Amino acid sequence: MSLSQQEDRLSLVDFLPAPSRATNPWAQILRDLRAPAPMSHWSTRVTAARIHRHDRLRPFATRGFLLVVLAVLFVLADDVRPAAWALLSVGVTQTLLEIHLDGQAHGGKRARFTLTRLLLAWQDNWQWERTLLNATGLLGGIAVPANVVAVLFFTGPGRPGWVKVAALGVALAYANSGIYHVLTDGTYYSANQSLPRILVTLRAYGWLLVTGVLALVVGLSVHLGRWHPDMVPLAWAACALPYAVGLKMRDYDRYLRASGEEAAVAMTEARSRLAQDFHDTLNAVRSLSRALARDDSVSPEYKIDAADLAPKLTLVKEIVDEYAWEAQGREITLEGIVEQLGRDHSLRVTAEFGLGELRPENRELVRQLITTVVANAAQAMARLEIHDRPVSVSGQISDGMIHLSIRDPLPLIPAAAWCPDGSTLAVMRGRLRRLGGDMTQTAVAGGKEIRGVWSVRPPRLKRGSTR
Amino acid sequence: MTLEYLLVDDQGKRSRVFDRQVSVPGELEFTMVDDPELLLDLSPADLAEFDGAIVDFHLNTSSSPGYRPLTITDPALYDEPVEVRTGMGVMLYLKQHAPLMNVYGMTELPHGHAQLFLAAASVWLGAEPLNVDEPPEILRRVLLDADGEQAHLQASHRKMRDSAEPFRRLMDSCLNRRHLTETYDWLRCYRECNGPRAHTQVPGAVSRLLGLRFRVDPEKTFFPMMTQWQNDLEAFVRAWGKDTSDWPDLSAGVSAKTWAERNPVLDYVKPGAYDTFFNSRDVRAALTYYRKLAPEGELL
Repeated sequence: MSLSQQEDRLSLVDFLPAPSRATNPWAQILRDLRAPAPMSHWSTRVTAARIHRHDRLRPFATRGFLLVVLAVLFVLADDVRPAAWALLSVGVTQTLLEIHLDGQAHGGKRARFTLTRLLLAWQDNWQWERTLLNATGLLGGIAVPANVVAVLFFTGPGRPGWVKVAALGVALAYANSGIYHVLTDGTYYSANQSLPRILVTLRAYGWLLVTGVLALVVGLSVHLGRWHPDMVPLAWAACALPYAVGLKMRDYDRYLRASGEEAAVAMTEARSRLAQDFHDTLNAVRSLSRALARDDSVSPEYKIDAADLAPKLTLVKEIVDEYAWEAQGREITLEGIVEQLGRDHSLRVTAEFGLGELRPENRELVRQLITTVVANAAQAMARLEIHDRPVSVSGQISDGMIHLSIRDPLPLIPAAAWCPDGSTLAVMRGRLRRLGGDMTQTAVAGGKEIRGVWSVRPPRLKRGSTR
Repeated sequence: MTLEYLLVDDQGKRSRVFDRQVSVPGELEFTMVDDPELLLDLSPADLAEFDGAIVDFHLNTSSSPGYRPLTITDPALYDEPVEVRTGMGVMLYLKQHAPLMNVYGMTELPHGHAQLFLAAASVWLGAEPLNVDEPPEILRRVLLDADGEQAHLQASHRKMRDSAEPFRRLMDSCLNRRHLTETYDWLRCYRECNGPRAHTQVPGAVSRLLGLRFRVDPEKTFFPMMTQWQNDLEAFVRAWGKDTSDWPDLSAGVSAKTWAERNPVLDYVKPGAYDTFFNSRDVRAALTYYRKLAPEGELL
């Protein structure tokens, strides 16, 4: 069994069809002529919904109507041989079966006839994502050429013969409907298809193949004298009708591609609205967390957690772009946090990180250390009215240790005020020390640097290690 | 004597708040573990020194190539080492290395998606639920009992207890089938299907996800199975207080039409919140453990 951790992540690449637009619009026309079906979950879902919810009886009713017209034309036509009626009966059988089985499949009760139940089971069991082969489809595969052969070889030529031309048009309309629905069936759009490669490749040229075969049989019928001489040009002209199959198929493929592109935009817009609603709903929490972070009656542990929360709530907008969100491991980026801190405190903060992927605890420590130190520095810089001077943050890993430094334009914190008991700095330093590190400050040109260093991997777990 | 629990949770803030509010110096303490990989530090003897473990289900472990996850190795049960990616994997690991340890599944009640995890942890691995939204005093009383028999003090415990039996029935409902006997596997495939006749896609999903190809007859296979699933799931979600009065009525028999408009089983298992439950190897491994090794009577 293949169970993968990553399978559960929504992949827009799999969900939506890959855009296949050429930069040159003229080249696009040529590309569309030979483009394969846009294979994706989106295309499969839209096609399944079209077939099962919107089409339902439409193609069968259309073909049933065409068969009635064809039968009327056979009555009107001259010299209709019995074989024509026999061939017509295949399409009639298929159409009636399709309508009957659709009613059975969507209805509550099932027929008692063994044959119907057998066909129904075949229809129900049809794994349309994998194969085109189904019960009524096979009959359709016979009915389409049967109608054309019936008109071409077992009617007419007649005098003047217009009825035969009309009948050929109707038989080809039936063929177009049948072939179009096969070529736009869900199988072609599904990534689970197990169709022969040649079938997938030839799909784009299906209309051309049908035209070629039709020209051959029309030519044969003309050669055998089955057409009134006045009608022969019209018989040849009818060979152009299968072009409609390619036309409709390409139209449908383009709709899928266009809707796929727009679906991606619409999904992002919806995520953006969701993020905005989330942000607005939690704005009160953000304000409260800021107030808690500044309230000296609050214990320093809670002040640190509260200060860490505000920029994260503001940055829910990072969730909007799902590609980027996946790429950043579904976590708010440190760069984003630093930028937000700059905006929140009106500081010019720059950041440079080479930390790679961190464990949850380390990621949080880095974030909270930056938030705590920068927030403290911002307050002091505001008091001294030097908040326009730059602050820089950098972090990297070397020798199994995380090195995080924050430079600000302030003088060293006096020893008495450096990490006093009950302060947020003391709590942060305590956490680093438990992880085999420390937090120190040193004077540098133009200010000071606060440096936090701790082990990437925490000390070995053991009972009592918390005490 | 101090009782000490492992607290396996990737959300440091929640763990620290829990620690501050629930711990009692000298009586009840917690060792926080933000990544299951850190459990490699502990030998079975070290593990056994802890009085219990509280484990979150969603651990968000790293997916980078350099990450070396904790693994569960048991050639008798698994063809290859199973990576620990969720809390179920952690519980299974603890079951393997410290079988007598009291294990609690950490949850916050507003998270509906934790229902399957909690029930699976209870039925398959004998874990009790621990709702961190309960008052700290209650949580303290639960955890200060070294025998782990006070979980019922939580107001939310009844829901969990009542949902366990329907969950067991649901997960056992396909055991008499020939080709695929685990409801878990069926549902994993079913949730990949869409549309008004989603069941017709099940064989394709089974082939794609499990590599198995067999005939699925809607009348003989799918409809009875779906009926059973809906009945068991209905009892399950009702135990959690959900109203199911608008679910399709199955009393007059079923057909494809029954689930054409409303498919509560698919609606329940399909959301992305259950991706981790259905697509993590360590969750499936916990089920394998339950089927093969869980001692009779130890579990619910």
